[in-house]
Amino acid sequence: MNGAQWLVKFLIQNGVTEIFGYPGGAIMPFYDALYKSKLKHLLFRHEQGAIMAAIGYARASNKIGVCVATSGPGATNLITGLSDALLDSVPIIVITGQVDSKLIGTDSFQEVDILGMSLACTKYSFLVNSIEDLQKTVNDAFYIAKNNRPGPVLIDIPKDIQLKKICSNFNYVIIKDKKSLFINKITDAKNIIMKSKKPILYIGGGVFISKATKEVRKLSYISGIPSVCTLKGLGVLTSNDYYYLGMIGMHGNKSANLAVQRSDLLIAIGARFDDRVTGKIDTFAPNAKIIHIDIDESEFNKIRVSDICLLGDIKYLLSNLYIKPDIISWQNEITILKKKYQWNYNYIGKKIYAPFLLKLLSEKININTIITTDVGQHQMWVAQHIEFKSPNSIITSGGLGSMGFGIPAAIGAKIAKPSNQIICISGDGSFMMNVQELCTIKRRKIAIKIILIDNNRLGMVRQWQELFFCKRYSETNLDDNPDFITLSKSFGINGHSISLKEEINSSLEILLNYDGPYILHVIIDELENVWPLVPPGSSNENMIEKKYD
Amino acid sequence: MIEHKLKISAHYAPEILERILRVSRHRKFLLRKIEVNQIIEKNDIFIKLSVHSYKPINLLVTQLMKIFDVFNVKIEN
Repeated sequence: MNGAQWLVKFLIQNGVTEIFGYPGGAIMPFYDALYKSKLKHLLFRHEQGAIMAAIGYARASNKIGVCVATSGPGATNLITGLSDALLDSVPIIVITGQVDSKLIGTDSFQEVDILGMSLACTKYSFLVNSIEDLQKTVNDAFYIAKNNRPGPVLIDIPKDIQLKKICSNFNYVIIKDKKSLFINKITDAKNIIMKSKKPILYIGGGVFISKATKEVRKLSYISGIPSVCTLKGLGVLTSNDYYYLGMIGMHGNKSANLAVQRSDLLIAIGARFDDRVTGKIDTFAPNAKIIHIDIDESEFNKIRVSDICLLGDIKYLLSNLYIKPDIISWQNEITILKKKYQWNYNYIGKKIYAPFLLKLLSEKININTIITTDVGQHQMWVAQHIEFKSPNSIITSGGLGSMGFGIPAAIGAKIAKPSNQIICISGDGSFMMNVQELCTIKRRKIAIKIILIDNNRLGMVRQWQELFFCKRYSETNLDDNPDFITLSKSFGINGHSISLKEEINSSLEILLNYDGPYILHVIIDELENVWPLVPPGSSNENMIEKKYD
Repeated sequence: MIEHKLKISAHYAPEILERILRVSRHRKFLLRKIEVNQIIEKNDIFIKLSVHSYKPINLLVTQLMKIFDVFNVKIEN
């Protein structure tokens, strides 16, 4: 058995059933080992598609996603995906072929120092220097990707090492954590909570990663503490949770932002005080004490100094915080805020208002539906107007904001959850960034649905140009877009276009009930904006709102 | 700007210095001085690092501790 054959065997033995990739010269021994093996491989048309599918797979399944590419350009095409996985804490393993060991450092064909490049965009990365190191390296890589705060791990394997014979009597030594996880400040945290008159639960993506949704819901129910979430915390709580106000931040609900600003205690759970959440940090929740709960110690005091830091597994820590402070007047204030700032779907004219379409979609989809998005206006509309019932029902590029994420992530999610309805909601700018993966959908007849919200513009950038750059619309006009339906049909994907309100309902029914992949092309007004909005550098209470006629 | 001195213990890997220096730079701790000693028989490396920054040094310590090879970071001053 050679190194490549052992690696395929290892992946199978460790429960990996499907990998995503693109072959090339330096990874050929691995692809040869893959040939007729039990490990399924989905061929993408660009390495970025493959790695984003691995992310979609990992986020839908909460398991490790695996991606493979060759050296040189194959490896460099993975950088955006690695960065995306790092910022969103997604456990993926990326295997790259490297030129022969003896050629490393000679500027040989398709040689790049991917180890060097990966230092800033992986949780860890390895260059395998000998066949004797391969087994330990791969074992370590899987451990690192999944444990503590998850993240991407890259394994770069020279071609000659893939081909060398391997001794398979390897005994793996279990890695010991560097530090004890739990710092016992629970009693202090409880005291602060009980003294608080205006507490808020601030829920982030770490809740889903640590599988603590049940514990957060229980804490919310028992304590009656009002709650808000980040983009990646969507779905942890729902409208069934009475004092839940939705998403905070730049495009968050006004009620959620105001509640946080008025709070005297913020309990941050698996959240990291991102600038899109806090607005101007000096004015964020100015009167609030902070209890920060996270598994990554480096998040503590990074942006905002905390009064109590609880380091460890959220699931475990929360189960020690089930208490009920006396906050009736705060709950009443929250109820008033919630009623005052509900979404308004009144829209004059015949054109399609994307938030209304998404609200209608939200009412039609079942609890197992997974939505992936690209990045831009449509992404924020999805976050605002679709009600997610569980945290893995939205897969979006939160930290990095990678356009082109939606289609490959949807493919990965469908591979992970074949019986679930998977819908990719994209914009015309993002759609074109990984449009080649329509061919991947065709290849495997992957039954994902795509809603393409098209304003012939790079909508979010155009919106900022309108509001903050004196309407100087520099390079945001996309009115030379292709005919999206003709394009999709050339990849064997059926679909149709709509531009009128009256077409929405029947078109969503067609989309959702179509047997196979389908694209609904939705033409909207080019001047439509995402509201409300916290202007850059402003405090979260200074939201600009839509003016209704 | 405050100057800080750190003693870092790590398993040796060829790129370990790059990792440590990259994290320090990216987190806005500027390098003043570095001293490196490798213990070949243990495959370990010891690094004395002087950095200066406006930021609290704990922010760098927790980031360095996340590097898989690093097993101890001690603040010297």
